[in-house]
Amino acid sequence: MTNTNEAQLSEPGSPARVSRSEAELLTLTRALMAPGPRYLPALRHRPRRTPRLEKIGPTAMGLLQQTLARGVAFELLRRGGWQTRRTLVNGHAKRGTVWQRHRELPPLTFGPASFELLSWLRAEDVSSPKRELPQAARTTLADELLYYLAAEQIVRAGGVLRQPAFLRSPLCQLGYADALAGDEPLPKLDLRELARGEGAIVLEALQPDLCRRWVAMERAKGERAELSVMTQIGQAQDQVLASLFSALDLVDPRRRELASFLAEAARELLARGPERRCPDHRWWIGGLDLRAPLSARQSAFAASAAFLRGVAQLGRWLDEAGVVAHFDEDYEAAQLLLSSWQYLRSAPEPTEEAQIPATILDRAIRLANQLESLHSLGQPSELP
Amino acid sequence: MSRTYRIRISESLRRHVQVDDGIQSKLEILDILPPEQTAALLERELEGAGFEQREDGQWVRADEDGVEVRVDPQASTVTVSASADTDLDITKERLIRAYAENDATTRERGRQALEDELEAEAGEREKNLQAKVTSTLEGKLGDLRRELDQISNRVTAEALKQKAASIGEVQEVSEDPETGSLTIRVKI
Repeated sequence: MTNTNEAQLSEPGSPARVSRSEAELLTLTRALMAPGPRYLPALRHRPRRTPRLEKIGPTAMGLLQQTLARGVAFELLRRGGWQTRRTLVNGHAKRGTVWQRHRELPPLTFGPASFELLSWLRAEDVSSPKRELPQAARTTLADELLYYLAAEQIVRAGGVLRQPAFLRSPLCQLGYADALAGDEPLPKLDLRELARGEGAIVLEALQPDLCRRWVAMERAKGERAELSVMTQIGQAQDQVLASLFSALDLVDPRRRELASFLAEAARELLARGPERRCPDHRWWIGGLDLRAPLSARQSAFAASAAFLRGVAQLGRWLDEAGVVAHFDEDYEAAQLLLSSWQYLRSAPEPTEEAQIPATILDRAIRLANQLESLHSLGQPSELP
Repeated sequence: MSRTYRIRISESLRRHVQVDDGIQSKLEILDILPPEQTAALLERELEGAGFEQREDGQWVRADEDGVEVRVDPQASTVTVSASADTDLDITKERLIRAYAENDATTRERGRQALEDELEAEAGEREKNLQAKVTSTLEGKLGDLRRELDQISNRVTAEALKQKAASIGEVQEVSEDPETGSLTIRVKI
């Protein structure tokens, strides 16, 4: 971040002094990283459009850097870095929290993209922004994380996330495919930077948060009424999952375990509670207004199964992992998958609900087939 | 004192409208035999169900309501489609008031409003035609699903028999049409 303003340095020991606009920017930045579901009224319904901040003074810049560095690092740990998990580190499975698995955590270097984002958030009403948030020429991993954190607050405030900067953010695509979906398909991104090095550490830490987002995305599908919206969301999900799966396979060593958030979301959605209850296919499409041509219905139904198709892909990876011999290079990675996702294939004691497959994987495959099949396209009156 | 003139405006719209609807699905046939053998079994069943083979290798059947069912035996996909078309010929008249005999602006405004009404009515009729096609397709879907399920089941059963015959001597085949179960006893 650059600073060319006149210095407003404070006396040693006295509180830092910043201008009103700088104070607004700092308050907004802190609020973005406040834990918990907090609504930010500052993000919308601002009767007075404030001019965009171009630069800030050195005192404010120092405070902003401190707020971002501490806040984003804290959020990364709070959203999942604290969890004890098993991931691949240098090709070997390692168990622990993110700071136990990795001797060095990625340094957070915020660039002009972060300042542009904060300045945009301060100046615009996110529900009807007058100016787009442009795609930054270059973004750092820390900028990406800030985009991801800001996306949650914008969505919560009912804002428009389809801004060029968010559309081209790999983390935002992964976590907010539904909010980014629109008439135009999502830009195809190369997600390999999230599958190796520092990006992979961030993705490891965000697994529980991504799981929470995918569960929320799937739960919201039952409330969707417009077929075209469901189609767009499903296509966006299909695309981002395809990009992720491809990236996880293209890095060396392969990092398929970084798709664990999907497996965890499947467990939460398809094996609910101690009874391991599973919704039927109408759970995904029950809210749709079916007064439309069958072709539009079928597109929406098939799109609604995007997540389930993604889970089915995990099953194919499990099949492949099962035949990796002990002398193969990726034996440890295969064993990690088999043990981490064991619950996808485990069948409980037989229940009365014999018509529902016992394992999560079989349930996902069955539900996806049902949503894509002719059998789901009954008369509107036949469906709830 | 000014006089008002009543001007009669007439506009008409002629348009050919075509609407269609369709869906595609996969036949649920298990991979018991090699694809080409399964496709041959499927073709035999389709022929028995009144489908005709086209030059592109697809099997097609059209009924009197214009619903066309197209099956690709190689890919095991089924496409059901229906279409309809009609010639719209709508005429509308309107009386408007003007304060001058040659009030071009008022006349033009009236004509524009009439054109908008014609477009709206044409759109409404097109929507109704679309709904009719969709309804026709929906009406056929129930019977078609059953028929395709039966075809898939027969193909699967025949494939099982052939597979059983290829691995040993088939001693007994019993089928229960009620439950759809098939039991084959093979001596290897």
